[in-house]
Amino acid sequence: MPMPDLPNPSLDALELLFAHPLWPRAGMVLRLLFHAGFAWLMFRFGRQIRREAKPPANGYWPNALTLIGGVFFGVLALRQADWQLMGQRNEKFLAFMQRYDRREFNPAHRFRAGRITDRKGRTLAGSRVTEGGIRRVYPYGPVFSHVIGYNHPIYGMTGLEAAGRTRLMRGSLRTRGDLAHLGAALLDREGHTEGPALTSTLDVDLQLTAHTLLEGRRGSVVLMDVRTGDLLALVSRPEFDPNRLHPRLFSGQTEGSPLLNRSLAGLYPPGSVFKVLVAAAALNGGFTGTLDTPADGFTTAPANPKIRDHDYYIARQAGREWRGHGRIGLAEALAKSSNVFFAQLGIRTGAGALTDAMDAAGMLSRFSISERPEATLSQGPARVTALSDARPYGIAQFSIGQGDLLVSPLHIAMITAAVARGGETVFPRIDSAQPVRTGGRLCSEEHAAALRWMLRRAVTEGTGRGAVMPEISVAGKTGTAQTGAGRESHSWFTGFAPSEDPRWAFAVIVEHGGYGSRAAVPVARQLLQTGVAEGWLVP
Amino acid sequence: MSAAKAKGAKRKPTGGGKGAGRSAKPRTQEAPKPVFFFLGIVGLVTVAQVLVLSARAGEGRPLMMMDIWPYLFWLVSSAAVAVALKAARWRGSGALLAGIFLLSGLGVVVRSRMSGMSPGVTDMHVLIQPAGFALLFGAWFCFRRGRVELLRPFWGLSLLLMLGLAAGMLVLGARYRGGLYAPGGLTPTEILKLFAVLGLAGFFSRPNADWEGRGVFRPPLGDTFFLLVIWGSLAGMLVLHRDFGLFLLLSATALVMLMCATCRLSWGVAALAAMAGGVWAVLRYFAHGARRFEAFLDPFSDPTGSGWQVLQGLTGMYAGGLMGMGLGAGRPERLPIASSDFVYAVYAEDAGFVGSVLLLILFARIFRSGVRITRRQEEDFARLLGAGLVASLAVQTLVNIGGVVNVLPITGIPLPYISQGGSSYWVTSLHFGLLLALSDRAR
Repeated sequence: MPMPDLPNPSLDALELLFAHPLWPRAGMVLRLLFHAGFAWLMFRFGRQIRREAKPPANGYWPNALTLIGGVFFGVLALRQADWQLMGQRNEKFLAFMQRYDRREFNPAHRFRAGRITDRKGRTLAGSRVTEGGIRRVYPYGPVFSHVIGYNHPIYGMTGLEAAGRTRLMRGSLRTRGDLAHLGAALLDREGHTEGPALTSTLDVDLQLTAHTLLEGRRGSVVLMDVRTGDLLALVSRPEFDPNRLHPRLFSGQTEGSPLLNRSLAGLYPPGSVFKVLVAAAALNGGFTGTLDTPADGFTTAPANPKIRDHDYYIARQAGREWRGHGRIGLAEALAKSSNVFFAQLGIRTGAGALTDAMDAAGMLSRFSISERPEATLSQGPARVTALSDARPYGIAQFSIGQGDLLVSPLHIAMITAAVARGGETVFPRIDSAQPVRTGGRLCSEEHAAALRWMLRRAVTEGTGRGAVMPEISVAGKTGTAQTGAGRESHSWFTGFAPSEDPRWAFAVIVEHGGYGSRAAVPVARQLLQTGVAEGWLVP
Repeated sequence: MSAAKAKGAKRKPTGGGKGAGRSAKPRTQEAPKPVFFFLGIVGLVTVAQVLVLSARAGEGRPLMMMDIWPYLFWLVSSAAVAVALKAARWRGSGALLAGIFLLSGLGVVVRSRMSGMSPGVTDMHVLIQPAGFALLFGAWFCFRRGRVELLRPFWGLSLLLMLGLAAGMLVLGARYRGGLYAPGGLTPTEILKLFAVLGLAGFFSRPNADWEGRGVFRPPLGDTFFLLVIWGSLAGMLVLHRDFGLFLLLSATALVMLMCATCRLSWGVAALAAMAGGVWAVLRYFAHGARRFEAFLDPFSDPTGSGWQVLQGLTGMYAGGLMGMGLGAGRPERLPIASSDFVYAVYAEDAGFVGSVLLLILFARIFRSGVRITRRQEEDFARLLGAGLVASLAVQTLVNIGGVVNVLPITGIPLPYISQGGSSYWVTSLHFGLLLALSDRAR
């Protein structure tokens, strides 16, 4: 149907009226008038209906139908009130609005996230009210970039910022304080109400020290309290500044993937530090004796390249002949980090026992470090090909921490912590309000005690001699993980201190740092020295 | 407790005096001048329109005549309908008429508030509302004062048209967004609502029909078989359209009419069981329906996918809060299909919880007045027709708003007189016109 267009001139007079300085006030009055007038009309409407002749009383069923309809209208209004007026009670709804809603007038944005502090109450992340709204600020900048993460309107949330989000915003109504908070937020649509602070288990001094020690390197430091699983420092480098996020960071083209949280998401071959787990599994399986370690190395079949000790290669490089360690026990094998010994030990222990040990250490499934499973701060499983007794060479490689095995620094720290605290795994925690959570048992108390003594010997007499210091007795195991041809190996060191009554467990990795004793041990050593100087560790 | 009592006692003398003074005044029983009511409605809609325009200007968008044409058309057509009714010696329910005027006026303003948000709205759309009012007046005029009985013999034709239209759409309709549409974006299936009501009302009130007092355990066998065949084929075709919402609406309407025809609530109980079975079948065999149902049960399971729409609507409502941002001042631009299925969310953001409850009251009062009109009918056909019309409109309203506030799954049923869309507007106008005709007879 063809139709002439309606005339469409612009309404200049109305625009002038709305531009008048007094108009906003008039608009407020009109808004009230709309609601009041509507209410008045509804009142009159109801009266008019009643005034029109009353229907005859013909049975109960029309009344029942009307009642059902009326109840349904009531349900709609109540449900709407639940969303529209009490929406902030629903944690997921609040999180959804804060993440996806662009309306700046949405009161959801006025719930200012609480501070995240370290264990001594120093602010690691806080909210600052600026002209453009609320901005998260990170006083320590890049130092806590991965573990605290960031909360940015464009780039989203990561780390503890994401995992602790709901608590920081007080999205729930569990206590009387929460109710008072809700009341204040409802009444004060302009003001900002700040959520409660979240006290993390981290410590600024230790984190700063660890961060500085890795300056210019790529790698990670994990430091945890073995009794509670408290993460005291969780450093990953290279890092970024959460106060200055820029698009190039997220383009995937930045050198060294600074966004990657290497402590949790880094996947590395563990090398010799993995022998701690193999030793624990072997002790648990009842191993006591000695094994022969021929200088020429060990293999399961002629087709497989021989697994040899490190000393063999050193001697060959120097043009010397090496006679091998001979027949040695577990303690000496750990101290000398004998690959030949551990390859045989792993095969003797068996695929089942080794898999059980990994499971007990929490390496086979994802677990959350912060309470909420939907949030991002969690540790994924280690990447490992299923072990089988039918493929002994695979077990042999696994037992020296090479082959199809990739773990995160946190995994290694957890193994060490389990040994240090008597064989039982403790899950790391970062939110001090969370309960301490223990996991499976890696080995018995006696075996753990024996292993602690052996690891102490590995420091005093073995590859970890660089960690010997007058202040405190350290026990630990170095690792040198080969990363393919032409590149320096990854440098590992894991251990605990004090060795007789362990309080701290740590894992340090320096990517392509060479020998474990060269790059990783000094980092751990200085970290422990800081701990002693700050009064954390009593020798 | 005792303190409150004492307070009450203290206040009593003065309060009592006031109350006595008021009750001494003779209570006026005659109706107020309808012209004041009409002016009140016009005033409220005008305030709403000014608020929308002011918000538009506040955004820096130019104000054009196009923004107020719908309002002017509503103003003129309402006045024309009022004058024409007066001239044709209207004696129907003033309450229902007032409710219709107010609802359509609010609808016009809410839709004009969204112009610019929904592309493709042209001059043609301005005429939807006046055309609807012409249909409304026409329906009243043709069927007023008992002439509605003329429609009774056509129940067979109505049911046939209902099935034929569903079948025709299946053959000729164009697929769009999961539904079927005729050329030009029209949805002829909307008129099914009216055909179903007319057909069933005539069918149940045939002179030789024997439905009264028949519960679900002893139904008249021949009639029941006939109904099952009709409804089964309708269900099959609408499911092929993937138009579950329309089928549910028609079934709920038919159920209410069945209960009114038999005066037995047992049908409702049986229908609840059947509905549970139907929901199970949809979840089991239709991925589309199952997705919507899951999004209804837990919108947060996939907040950026299937739950996005309902969560965006609720987000807007939350942003609006108790009193709202003022009409036109909300920001529902990010809400998908805001102008049709989710228009209530837009209104709730603008008018706040208070405005939404007032709109709910308006709907409830319109239906209440419809129920009263229906109950005053003496002929079976008129009574059933009224029940069907009210049920059809009420179910549409409840299902649409229920979907928005997450009481029911989203069905894609428009909100009567508020949502955008021509076919639905005209069919709703016919519903209202017939109700007005019924009311005119009852006096």
